[in-house]
Amino acid sequence: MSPTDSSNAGAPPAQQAPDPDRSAPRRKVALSDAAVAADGAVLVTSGLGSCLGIALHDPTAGVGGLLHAMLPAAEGRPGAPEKFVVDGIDATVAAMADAGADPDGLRAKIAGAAKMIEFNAGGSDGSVGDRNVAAAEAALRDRGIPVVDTDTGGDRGRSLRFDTATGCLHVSYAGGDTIVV
Amino acid sequence: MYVDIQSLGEFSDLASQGADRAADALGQLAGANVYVDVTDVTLMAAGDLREAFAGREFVGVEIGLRGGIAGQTVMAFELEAAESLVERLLPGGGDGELVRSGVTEAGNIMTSGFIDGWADHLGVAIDMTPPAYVRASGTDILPDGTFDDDRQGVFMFESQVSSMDEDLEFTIYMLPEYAGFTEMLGHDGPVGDTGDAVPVNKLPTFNRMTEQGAAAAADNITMMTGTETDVDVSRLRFVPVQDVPAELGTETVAGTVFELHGDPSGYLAILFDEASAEEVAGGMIPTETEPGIGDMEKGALRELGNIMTSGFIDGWANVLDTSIEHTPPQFVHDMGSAVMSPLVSRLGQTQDHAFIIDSTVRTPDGNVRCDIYALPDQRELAAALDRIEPAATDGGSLR
Repeated sequence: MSPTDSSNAGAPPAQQAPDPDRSAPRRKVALSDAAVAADGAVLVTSGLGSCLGIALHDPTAGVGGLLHAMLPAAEGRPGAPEKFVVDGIDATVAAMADAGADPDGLRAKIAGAAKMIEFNAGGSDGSVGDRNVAAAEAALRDRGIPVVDTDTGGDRGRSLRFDTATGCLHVSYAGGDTIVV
Repeated sequence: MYVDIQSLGEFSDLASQGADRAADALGQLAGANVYVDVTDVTLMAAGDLREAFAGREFVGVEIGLRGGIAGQTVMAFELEAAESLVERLLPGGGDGELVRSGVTEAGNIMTSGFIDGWADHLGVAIDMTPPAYVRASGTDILPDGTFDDDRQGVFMFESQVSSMDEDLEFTIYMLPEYAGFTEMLGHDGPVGDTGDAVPVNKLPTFNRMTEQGAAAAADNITMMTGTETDVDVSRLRFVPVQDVPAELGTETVAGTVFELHGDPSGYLAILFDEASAEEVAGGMIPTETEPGIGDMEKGALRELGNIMTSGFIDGWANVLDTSIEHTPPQFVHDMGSAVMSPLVSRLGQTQDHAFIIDSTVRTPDGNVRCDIYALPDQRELAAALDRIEPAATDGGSLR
């Protein structure tokens, strides 16, 4: 009963195998969460369905931020700013400025907002995904941040890897296809 | 005994912050980025808890509380996980002493963060005894009195911890002594508007009824495919709404999603891993088909999902004495967390936390696994639970 055999204590041996991103630190971004890096880290978030990923980059300062938001705007709803596209963009931009980015020198890439499920109830104002994209485009336009590339919509979920050193956003789908925007 | 949903939410957030701090501390020890994927509050019948802990070895710390909250709090890891963590810190050199000091430190950080948070929140002083390291089998790790007869259920905080850099996954359990915490959180009668408070003593009954619904759904798999199945486990958890997708991870799943209308409304997802989906669909299709999940398999999974859902919600409707309708099945085949995200986005418009009821159905050989996730509207669920006859609760407690 007592698991005294610690040689395989429930886990495979530590992997030293080369991973292309192994040299850059990797940081995880949860749902309703954002992370900012000034050290060239790769920011990773997974399982975006109707949620929207917003990658912000200041190429001059080498500062990047990734937001994984769930709904368009707080408008009095409870939750962290990062739960919402509009409020989360403001929080992420502020954190990037603290890390040395120039808020006027940012560019954005957005990915996610799939329509995976058709809902019966309350569907008159468009899918959550569509509303997330509209909210992001409007908020970024208002803040003078150009959207340089997008991969939104469709009916498949996505996972994102944002390389803050290069500004490349790797989008992967279930089953393994990956594109870079 | 009623617990208001808002307090339960604050309770959950504090536990989650404590777990984040513990993960940071472990990450510093291990020189890796360690994250808490999700912290659940599980409300279980003491009997179910006994079953869940049986036959497992744990290490942890025990802390005594006095003042604003009295009682004992236990934080535990599975021994195997603690040993594997130490093995990573010090390959080949891990010994009992290192496990002991690492666990004691993490336990101290986690529980004190949690207790300090509550003391601040309540504006009371809570004294803690120094953490005592414990190693125990099964339910011996739990706080004293967990199985006292008058207890209807147990609160357990469960944090799933993982790392991006290493293949490292483990769970931290934290169990506050029931009496101290319910005294603090609980009310004898309903508080606020209908649906503001959960009658916690009815949750074990509800969970058991859910299990019966899941058993009916499992029987439907057997009927449709000829494969024997069983309900492995059924749990009711309370989690921040944004953490629900992390419960499923990024594994590809296939199955069906339904909207529920009635008391309570909400969502139901019946999800198989890909191999299981192919296997059960294959059992329903009389002819040979191409490998993978094609149109024939989709049709079979829709049909199966439809029948399972009816069986499942009949179980709820009976005990809650309501009628619940469901929409036609929507086929999904994608990352588990992505499948859940539109559901929680919709729930997240009106609530910050969610009840998630997860039943796992398996075949005896383990080849087929199906998870049934129910996500009811929290206020409607609380109101519906309140209508459960006390007799139904008395009849089945603690078994």
